[in-house]
Amino acid sequence: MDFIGNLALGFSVAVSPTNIFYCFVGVLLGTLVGVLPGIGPIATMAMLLPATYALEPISALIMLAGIYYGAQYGGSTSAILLKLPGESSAVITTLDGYQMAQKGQAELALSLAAIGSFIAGTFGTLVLSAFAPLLATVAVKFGAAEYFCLMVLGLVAAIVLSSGPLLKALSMIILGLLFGIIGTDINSGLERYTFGIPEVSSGISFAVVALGLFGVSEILANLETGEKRAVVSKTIEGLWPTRAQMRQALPPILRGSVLGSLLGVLPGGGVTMASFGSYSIEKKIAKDPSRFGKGALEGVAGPESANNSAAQTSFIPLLTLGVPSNGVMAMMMSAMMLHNIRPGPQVITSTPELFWGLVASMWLGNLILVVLNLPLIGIWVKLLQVPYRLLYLVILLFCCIGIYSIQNAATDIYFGILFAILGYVFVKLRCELVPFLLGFILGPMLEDNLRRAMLLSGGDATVFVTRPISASLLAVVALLLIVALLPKIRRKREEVFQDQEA
Amino acid sequence: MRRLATSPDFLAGLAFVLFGIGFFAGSLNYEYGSVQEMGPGYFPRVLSASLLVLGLLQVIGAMREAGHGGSMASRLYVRPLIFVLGGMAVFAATLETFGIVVAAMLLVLVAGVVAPDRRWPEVALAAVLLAAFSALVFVKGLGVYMPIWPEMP
Repeated sequence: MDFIGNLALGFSVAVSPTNIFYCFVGVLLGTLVGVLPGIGPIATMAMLLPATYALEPISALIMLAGIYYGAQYGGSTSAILLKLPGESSAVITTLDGYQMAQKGQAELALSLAAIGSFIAGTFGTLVLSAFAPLLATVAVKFGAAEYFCLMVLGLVAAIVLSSGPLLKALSMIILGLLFGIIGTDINSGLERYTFGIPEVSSGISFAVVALGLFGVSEILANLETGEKRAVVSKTIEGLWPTRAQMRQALPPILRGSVLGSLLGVLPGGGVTMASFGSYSIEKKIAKDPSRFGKGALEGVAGPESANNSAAQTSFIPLLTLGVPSNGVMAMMMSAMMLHNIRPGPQVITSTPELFWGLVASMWLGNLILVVLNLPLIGIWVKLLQVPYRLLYLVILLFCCIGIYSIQNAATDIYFGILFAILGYVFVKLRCELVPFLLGFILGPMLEDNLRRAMLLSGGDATVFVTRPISASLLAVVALLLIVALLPKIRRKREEVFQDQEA
Repeated sequence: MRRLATSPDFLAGLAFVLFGIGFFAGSLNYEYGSVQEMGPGYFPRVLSASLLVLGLLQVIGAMREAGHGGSMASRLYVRPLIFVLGGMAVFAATLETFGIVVAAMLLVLVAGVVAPDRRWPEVALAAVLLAAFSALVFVKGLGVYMPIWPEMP
């Protein structure tokens, strides 16, 4: 089996000094934004995207991926120490992690999160390297009709599995698709919805949309709530768990790893769902569920492992099918396209060193995270004491510089302002922004594949149901929609998401 | 009626209707084509029409619900909106003629108006330090292409 050979190729790419350096920078920055609430991985990756232009594609992707899983990891630090989730996936960790810290077990909680993340990250990497090539060999046979159905499936699954009302999410996707096709139409060369503005003729940059929707509008939301931060006084020392504690934590870590790697692959599922899922499983199978919420170490070890393995496997749909499963993957996709790599099954065959290098770097990155971050926790805690009244100015300025440097156009900053308003208002109207982002990145491709499928079939729309693969994809779409609309399940779904919000 | 006007579902539906109309009107300028050979207007027209219908469904749904006391939209905070976005606009307007140092300081000073527990000396210090940092790290270090100082006439 060339499994070993592939991984060896990957590691030979990933351990080059340059790539290790960018992996290090990525996970360090990721941990930083993970620790700090009020700035997420999407905005950070968008800000840094222009800085990666000059890099080799593989180094750029390694760094951006590092930001993502580094942020999952960093989010737990502030959740445990301050009851303040740095990322949405760490919300659940605040329950037991903070309680452990109150009981004087902060060190234990932090090290369990780190060890769990590492084990889960390793597991996720193995799943990725075992299944991605299989999926890619199927996907290579896909034609325009299959791609169209696949993207529809990705979009529909993303809204069915995410929270919030279906109609709103569906509308946000369509709105995203419409914004996505702004610019020059590839087939006719006609400029659509550009209003004659030259900076828009090649479309609105994904990074502008992401920074406006997520970066700036997060600042606006945070300025409303004001500052609510506790000060940490405890010193951190003596990090390693005892053998008995490790024995208690290992089963949740393993269950979390498996659950996370399954949920990570699902569109719209991703890290947050994985950590919530793992927590409820641990609580259900525990001998004494009442310990949960009062500092049960399973409640930290399980979810923290689950979100990390989900972060790894959520790369599978993007790298093998070319369909991003969540907002961060949409960001990765736009980064790949900027470096002239078309995400999809051909990535593995045509540029194996890129694919396997990225996979190997994720495992290395997880190793760096454990080795680096346990000693650095003290520094992160200091950083958390930087008040938001200064932090938001820094984030805002970096967002503006990031937007400008995409194509050296001040006009883009005005677009950033428009998207910030759009994001802020839509959040107020309880509309989710991620479906918009997914629609935005998939818009041009969805249209292109639909047109090609119709051209090839001579305008015969039955092509989608007569070709077996596309028919089965559409059947899954129909099934998902029916399931989501069934009254009983709908109620259950609403309950689940309400639980999560509470 | 007041309850309806503040219902997030109603307002969201309305927004979708308006966007639907806007994109649909725009798509009329582009050739529709046929199913076999879709023109540049086909995709946007189908999408915007669907958006319009979905928006209407939500508006109607919200109107039905309003009688039973639907939920209220949380309030908009206008001050942060004006000063944060105003800071960005000032930055965009000044960057290319006056350079990053001036633009960054202006951005921090304008956006700093809405800082929670604002202290002006602190904001001023942040403005100077951030301007220096941007010039050194972004322009000199990372090679982002923008002027540092005002252009001399």
